[in-house]
Amino acid sequence: MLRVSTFTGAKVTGTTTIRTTIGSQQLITKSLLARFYSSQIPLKVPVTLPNGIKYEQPTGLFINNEFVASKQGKTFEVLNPSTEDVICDVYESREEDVDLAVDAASKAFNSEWSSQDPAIRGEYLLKLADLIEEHSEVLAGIEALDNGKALISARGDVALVAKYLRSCGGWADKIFGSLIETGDSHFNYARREPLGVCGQIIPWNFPLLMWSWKVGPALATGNTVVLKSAESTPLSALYASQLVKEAGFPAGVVNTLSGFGKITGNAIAAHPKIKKVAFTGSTATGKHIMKTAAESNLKKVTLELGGKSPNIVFEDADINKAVANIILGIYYNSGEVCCAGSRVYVQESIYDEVAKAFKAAAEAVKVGDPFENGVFQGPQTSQNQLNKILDYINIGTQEGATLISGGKRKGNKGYFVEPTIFGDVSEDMRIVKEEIFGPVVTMSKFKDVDEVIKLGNDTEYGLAAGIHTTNLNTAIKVAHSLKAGTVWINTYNDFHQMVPFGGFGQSGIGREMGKEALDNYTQVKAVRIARTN
Amino acid sequence: MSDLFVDIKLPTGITYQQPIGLYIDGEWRKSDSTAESVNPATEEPITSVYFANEKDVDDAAHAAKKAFKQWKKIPGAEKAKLINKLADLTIENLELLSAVEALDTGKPLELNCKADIEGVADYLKYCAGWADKNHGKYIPVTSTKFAYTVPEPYGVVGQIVPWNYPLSMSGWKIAPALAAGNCIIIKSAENTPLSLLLFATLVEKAGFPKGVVNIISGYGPIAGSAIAKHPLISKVAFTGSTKVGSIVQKLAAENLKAVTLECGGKSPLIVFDDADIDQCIKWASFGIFYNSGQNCTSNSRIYVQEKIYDEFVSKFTKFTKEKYILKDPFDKSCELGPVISKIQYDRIKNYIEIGAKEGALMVTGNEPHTFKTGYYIQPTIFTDCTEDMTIVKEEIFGPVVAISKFSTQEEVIEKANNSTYGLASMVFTKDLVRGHVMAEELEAGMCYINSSNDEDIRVPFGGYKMSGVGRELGENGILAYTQVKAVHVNMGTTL
Repeated sequence: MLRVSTFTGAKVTGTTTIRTTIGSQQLITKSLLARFYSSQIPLKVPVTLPNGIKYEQPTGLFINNEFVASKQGKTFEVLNPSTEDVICDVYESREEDVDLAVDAASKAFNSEWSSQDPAIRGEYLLKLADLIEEHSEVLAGIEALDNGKALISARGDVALVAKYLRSCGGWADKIFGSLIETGDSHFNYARREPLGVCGQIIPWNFPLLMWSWKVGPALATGNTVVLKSAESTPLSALYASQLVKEAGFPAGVVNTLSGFGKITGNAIAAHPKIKKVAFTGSTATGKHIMKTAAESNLKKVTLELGGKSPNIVFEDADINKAVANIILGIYYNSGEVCCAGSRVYVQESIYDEVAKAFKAAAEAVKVGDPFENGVFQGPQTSQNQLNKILDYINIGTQEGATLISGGKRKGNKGYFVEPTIFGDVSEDMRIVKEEIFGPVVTMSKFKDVDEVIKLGNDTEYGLAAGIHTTNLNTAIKVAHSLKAGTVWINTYNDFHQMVPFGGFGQSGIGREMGKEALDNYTQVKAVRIARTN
Repeated sequence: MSDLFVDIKLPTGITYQQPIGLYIDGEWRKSDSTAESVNPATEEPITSVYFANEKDVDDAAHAAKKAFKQWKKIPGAEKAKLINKLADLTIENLELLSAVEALDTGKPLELNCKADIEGVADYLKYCAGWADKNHGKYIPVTSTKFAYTVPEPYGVVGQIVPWNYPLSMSGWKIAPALAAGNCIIIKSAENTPLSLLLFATLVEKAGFPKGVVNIISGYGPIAGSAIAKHPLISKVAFTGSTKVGSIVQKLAAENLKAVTLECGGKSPLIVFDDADIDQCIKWASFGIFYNSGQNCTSNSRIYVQEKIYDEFVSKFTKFTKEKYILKDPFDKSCELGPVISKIQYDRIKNYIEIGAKEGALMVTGNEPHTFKTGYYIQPTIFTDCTEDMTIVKEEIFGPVVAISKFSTQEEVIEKANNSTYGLASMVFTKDLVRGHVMAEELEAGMCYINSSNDEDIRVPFGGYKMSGVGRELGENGILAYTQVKAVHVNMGTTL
């Protein structure tokens, strides 16, 4: 989480309170004036995680394999969403820093990086995966601290990061082209080449995991990267960037910038030397990025955006398991999941039974300090998110939905929200239509397969869907009829590094993970040789 | 246990512990017979190792069968970690494994053995990458049928490897079989068992479950046959001579095992008159004299277009004499060591005699050398060869090459394809179109344009005609250890 601590123009956009650092327990006092001129924070600061683990947090921009101060020396605060305390300050990138990073990435791309034996890239990725595993406890702790996600979820994220990077390592020398037979007159083949410098902009809900989903396939296919982390969660990407260098990647191959979407993100999307931009975040920002990419230099674009995913329970489902999956679908990561199962549809004959079991399960979800044992749901990542979610809860009540469970902020320190269920909703309600991105779910009834397919598809989004049934035919029929990039059957939020992930409709363009992710980072060159002299 | 390991002092001065038992179900054990392994550079025995009989093979097959029950449940990504670990251990032990290989085979330590061992590690890593990427297909059929395929391992696979690249060929067998999810019984060649036994210790250290990899030494007609016909083994892979390949295939027919064979060759290297001769002679010389010509893909037939024939012969001979000088395998500059055994030595010498008798011109070969012991044979070049000569027809598997002249492209295609074999082919020309046309016309599993014996672990390798069945390396190597299951789900068809 962040709080802006710099000036933009003459206007103060930040706050100037005295805060306690988690690490040194020292009081840091900063005057407005000092902030304006401040440029000299150390490039590494000691941080102590709530579980006692101490580590050195890089604060600079990672450009050309070095951590550097930003050109303008601007910094911003990173907050712990569980306590609202400052963790540390990090350097903020601006356009000129993006230029530097792009230059480094271009130089790296034009070196042997993109043309050498691809197995070498594979080796680096394998090494990076090993290093992520070695540092997994620190990385999981950083994620829990900075994002507020339950430590247990953070550990799952880090484990998948290592698996995914390792899998990308294996892909590096398996990026096949094809041979095309067109008769005796020609010899044709198609090869898949990297795009060049790829710009990547990642969100705050899975900071490190999204870093790996972006960096892994880009590097496996021989591109170089300029990546911006989310302004509220910059810490894990910086820490992982150290490991990039240690893994042996040449300078300039990976560049990681902390910064704001409107400044750094925009500069990446508009940069003439960047050939491709990949973004994960909101649909509104995704559209803006696509327009910017088009206006600047027709960048290739991949987008992983919002969702309002239906989670469907049929009357023949195992109800206990279905409820467990609904809980996982909406309260995992505090509901800050683009594919969260935020619309639950239950077949009418079991609606009351499911509602009762779901309410009991939601009330049993342990919400609190991410580092505490047994906690499943931590705080929301920022004040903004908290406000937005509470607004939606109000809207839901005003629209006439029945609040079955939750509905309030929990406590007054840290951005905690009670696991919330709305019943008796209708399809036209905003809480059914719009992405809330928090622990708030709507529940409605349906009669039969045909009706629920219609309801499930009644959205501009198409990221994911869940189906709970013991009937294989129902499962497959509904899975094939839903307009969604991922369908989970008798499970939810269940990722695997080899299975592609991405959206239909306004949920995005392109796929991440699996073999499909490699398509996002390669372009095809057809070579046609005439054989007649 | 101690009598299952012996101390061996290498010519490098290092003493190491050599396992000599059979590695079955994660345990070292004895058998009822032993055989000596001989150093081809000195003709001295190195040590004796235990040789497997039919019962031992049966035990290994049962161990593998049992291990498969668990092994098949381990996700591909987890298998990849184990295989990567084995690759790392191979590199950590590069010096030792290379030296053992040089001792047991007479292959040059620095320039052959090290490359072999590095190749094993590279291929293990490559296959580890495949372990979670061997995908099935979803096949759209009709709205009332849901059909998909699942790539599944065979289960227990038997593998029989040759003596010319003992650990390298073992890597070609072990890595894809494990990545595809199989359990293994692998038998080394009877005269080169040492490096694979040592490798077994790394398999154990890497943490593979017991019984997943079983490593045995033994004679082809006993242990090899037992593998080829064993009913619990679902697939057999063999690298070696065409004659033995044919026996393996017959034995495999008893329980209709899947078979892949990498067998002999008599690969043609064709030089057109527009070729870069200086490059060509280097590749051609490498292609026949590397590893003392003990390569299934060696370019043992060279066809040169008439206009440049004399120039080629003279440059090729000069280069070969300068480059391929017989040396002790442990000499760091050695590029040409002894051949593997007395049997091979006699066989090659016999072919050289036949060549001379049949009227080919020996421009070099049979020169005296200084080695008092060891199976050393000088590089031997025959020119003015004709298609009816034995040395043009039969695989010699030694440092002997037969050079012939041709005039037209059609003629050389005819000659090159005039062979029961079809493993590799090499074409030297600057004409891109001709290169591609030749690649299409030649009946061979591999065609090298402007190079020779330049394989890559990512590119399939294998033979046409009597050079083999199936392909190793690349994605094909993984598929060679995979069988496909088709699943049909009825989504509403009623009877």
